[in-house]
Amino acid sequence: MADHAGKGVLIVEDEQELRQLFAILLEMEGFSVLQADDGKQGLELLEKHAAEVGLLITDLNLPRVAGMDLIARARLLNPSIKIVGTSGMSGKTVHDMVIKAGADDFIAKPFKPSEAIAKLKAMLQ
Amino acid sequence: MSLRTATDYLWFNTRTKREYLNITPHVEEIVRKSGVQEGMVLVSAMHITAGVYVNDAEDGLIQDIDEWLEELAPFNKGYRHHRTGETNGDAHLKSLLVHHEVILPVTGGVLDLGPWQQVYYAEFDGCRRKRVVVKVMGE
Repeated sequence: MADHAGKGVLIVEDEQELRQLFAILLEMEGFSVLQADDGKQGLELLEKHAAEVGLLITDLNLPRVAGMDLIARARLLNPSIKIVGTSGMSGKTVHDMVIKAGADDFIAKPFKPSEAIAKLKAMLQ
Repeated sequence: MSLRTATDYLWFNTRTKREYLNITPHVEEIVRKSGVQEGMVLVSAMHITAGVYVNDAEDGLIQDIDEWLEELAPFNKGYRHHRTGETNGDAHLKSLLVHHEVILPVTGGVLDLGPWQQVYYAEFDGCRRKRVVVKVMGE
């Protein structure tokens, strides 16, 4: 990811199909993508590639390290990183909690991949 | 102090038909925002194929609960309810087994739960939008 400083994307999602779909779509847009299927692996990748990762997309309901904890930790590690939380659970309280934890935005599942990608691209530009 | 109430909704769209989601932090946040110091909070599934229960957040136990419910109310048995064209008879019965709502105490402005008590949303017929109402009442 060395050539993509700040433009790398880390996707932390335990639903394999969704994670891979996101990865393919973002790579088609020219982004460099890292993937993790649980919160602990996501945190390890984030710590290792802190300089390159400009955007973190994370599910909230993750094995090992919860998405909300990952968001808070990512914000501490890199105050300028863009963070988007996603979840099948939604509502104003969920949205507010994700933002309070340190995310910039929240996307409720299910969502249209094209709309989500457009939103993520706008955040990285 | 006068009686105050606050109502909020948690929405769910699970990726699988059956899921168990720990909603304790979200209920805690709704209680905190309500400003209620002494009272109670009702957490109630607004559906007849889902439930809300209080128990341990331990993965093995959650699998045990799921297997126990499946044993008592198996999926795709020849339920009379299926004569309507529905296929979710098991989800209705599972909902009855865990019940659809809980009432929790609020003391000193926070949920007054025992050390291992957590609030769970139990989905038995998911992959669609469903919700839980959270109503805080007290002073």
